[in-house]
Amino acid sequence: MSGIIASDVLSYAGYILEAGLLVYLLARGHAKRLWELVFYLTLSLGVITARSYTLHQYGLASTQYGSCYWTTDLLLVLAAFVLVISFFRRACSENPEMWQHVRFLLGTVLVAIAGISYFSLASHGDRFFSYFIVEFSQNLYFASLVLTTLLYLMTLKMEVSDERLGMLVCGLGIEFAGPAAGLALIYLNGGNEIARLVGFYFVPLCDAGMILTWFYAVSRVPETAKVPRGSVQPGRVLAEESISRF
Amino acid sequence: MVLAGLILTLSVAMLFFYLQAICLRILRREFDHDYFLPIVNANRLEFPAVRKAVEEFDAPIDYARFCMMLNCDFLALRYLLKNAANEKRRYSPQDRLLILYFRMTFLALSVRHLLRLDVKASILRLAAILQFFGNVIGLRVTSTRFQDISASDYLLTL
Repeated sequence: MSGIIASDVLSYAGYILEAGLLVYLLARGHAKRLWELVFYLTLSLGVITARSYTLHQYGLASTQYGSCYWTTDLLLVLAAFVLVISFFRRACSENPEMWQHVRFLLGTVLVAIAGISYFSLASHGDRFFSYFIVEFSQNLYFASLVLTTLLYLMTLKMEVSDERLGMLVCGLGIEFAGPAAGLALIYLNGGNEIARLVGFYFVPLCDAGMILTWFYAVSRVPETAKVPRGSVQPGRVLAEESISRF
Repeated sequence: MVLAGLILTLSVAMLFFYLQAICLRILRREFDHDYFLPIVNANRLEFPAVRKAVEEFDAPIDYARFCMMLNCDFLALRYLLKNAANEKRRYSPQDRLLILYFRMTFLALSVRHLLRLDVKASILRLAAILQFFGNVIGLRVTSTRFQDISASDYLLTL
């Protein structure tokens, strides 16, 4: 019982953070520059509203709620994929040739995932909203996690000056890595106590972690990084004075 | 089953990777002045000397002594983070994250020492975290307006 309450508190905290970030983005005039965040947050809040309405109308055990839950889950995953694409686009803004290659890679990934889903659907058509969707979500989450990691490494390799983008990608990485690990753990343990704990605490914590990281990125991190200082650290000046003790 | 195990392992590794990346990005924040210098001087902190010794001298590292010095600096700075020019008397989420990161790095340093691996990088990272704390405290102290109140007046308001 206390686990359910704690889970609810974490989930509601996550919703409040999402709404807060959306309001912050709109109020501070970041909506145009960071349209992808606004899109994702709006969709996420819409999904929460749709799920709450269906739960209230039909109940937890109803097929309508099950269909609504898994369909909106797919929508969220697809929205996150759009987010990853837009971050890639942003990272390649100063390198159009790279964007051509990246666009091809992203298209290939999308086609590959669509192909895998088609074959999975064909072999598990009778259990669409149970077995298939869980596996599909896990695979899509994992693909997005790999893409996010590639994106992060690309920003390091290309020395992208947009510090904020790096922080946003880190937040997205937490959002993907947490649930991907959670779903794999559920699959390995067959839905026992560990799986319950993961569902109750871990996934809402990752959601909150992503939103807090985004909040930090939007409110504290400037879009363009300052040029790093030279190799001489300021601490050395002081250290030279106190080094005599060694 | 194998695929799920692989996904679990990689996802957990990625999660820790991103958490560390966030901490490192926070630490990369540039301050317009070296706010940590007066804090170091006033509190006789030793991490700059530790960093200097590790960076510039090729002598064997005095592990026990360096750990003690860094840990003492950490305790002092943690106290100052909470109490120096901080009206709320609470750590910010950023402070909490970096305190956790310091502890994890300290744990990693101990493990590396036990396994007889190179510990220089870990020591330098710990010093970088302490410098960041010093800069945050220094910035807060600089930007706090004490107006014309005396030390006793200030203490009476607490």
